Amino acid sequence: MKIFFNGEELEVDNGLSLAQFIKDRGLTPDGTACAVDENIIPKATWSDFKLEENMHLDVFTLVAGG
Amino acid sequence: MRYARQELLPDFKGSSGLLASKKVAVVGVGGLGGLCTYLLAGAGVIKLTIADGDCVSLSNLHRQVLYRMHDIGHKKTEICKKAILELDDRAEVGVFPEINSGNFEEFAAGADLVLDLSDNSATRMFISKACFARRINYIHAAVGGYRGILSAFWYADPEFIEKFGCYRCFAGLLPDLKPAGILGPAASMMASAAAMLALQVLNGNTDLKGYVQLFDLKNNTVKKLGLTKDRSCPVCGG
Repeated sequence: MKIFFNGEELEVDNGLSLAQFIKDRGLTPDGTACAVDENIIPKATWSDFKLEENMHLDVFTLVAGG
Repeated sequence: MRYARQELLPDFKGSSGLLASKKVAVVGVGGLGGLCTYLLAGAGVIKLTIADGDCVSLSNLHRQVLYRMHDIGHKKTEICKKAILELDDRAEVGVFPEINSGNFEEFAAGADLVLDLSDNSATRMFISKACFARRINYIHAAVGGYRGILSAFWYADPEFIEKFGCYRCFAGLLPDLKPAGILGPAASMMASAAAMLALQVLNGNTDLKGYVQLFDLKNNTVKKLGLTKDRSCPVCGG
């Protein structure tokens, strides 16, 4: 199925969890945040969150500098 | 007269009394906090408490616009306080070193808003949690590389907590993030954005309530993302 990852179109498996998607991208959950269709998805729910066709994901690294 | 141009803005008309009555506590007066605090004082937020344990160093000067070469080796809080008093001699500025569990109570006493503009993950987690425990509204701003993150957490509002949670819900467990490269304008852009958000919160504007703003400081774009409560959050109780 088709999803959008940081603005880029991607094909992923049906039923893929957000946690698995993050892992497949080589990203570490700690220090990473993710929004789906412009709403932040709490990290504790990433494993249960199933990606669906045409979802827009914004995945970004957190920063802590001042 | 001082605020004549500011009060031409319809939503800030007659706001000077309100802003002067508010107390704001700022953690960190480096690249973000120094300029942000100065802008708040300029706007009439003259009851300020600032905290930072650092002294000015040569490597600060490219982005920390309050500080000069002759300030190197001096405490940032003292230089920042001096700059604010030169801007407005009515200002009351409390000064603290690094904030920890031993002095947070005194630091945040009477504050309407705490701004966390510190430079490390551990401080950010602690400040958010301490503000949540005392139900003090809290603004988080951070910058690294070309990325800026900014959000207000209205901890004084139970409905906000129920719907949007806390900083921990957003960030999860924050590892010790390595210092990123940064350009001076990127720090100043986020300092200004943090001051803008603080003024809106103090003035009762709720347009950005429930959102985190994600700044791309290279391409000058801002994305608004909705905050979501983590029902299993160990801080705000799920």
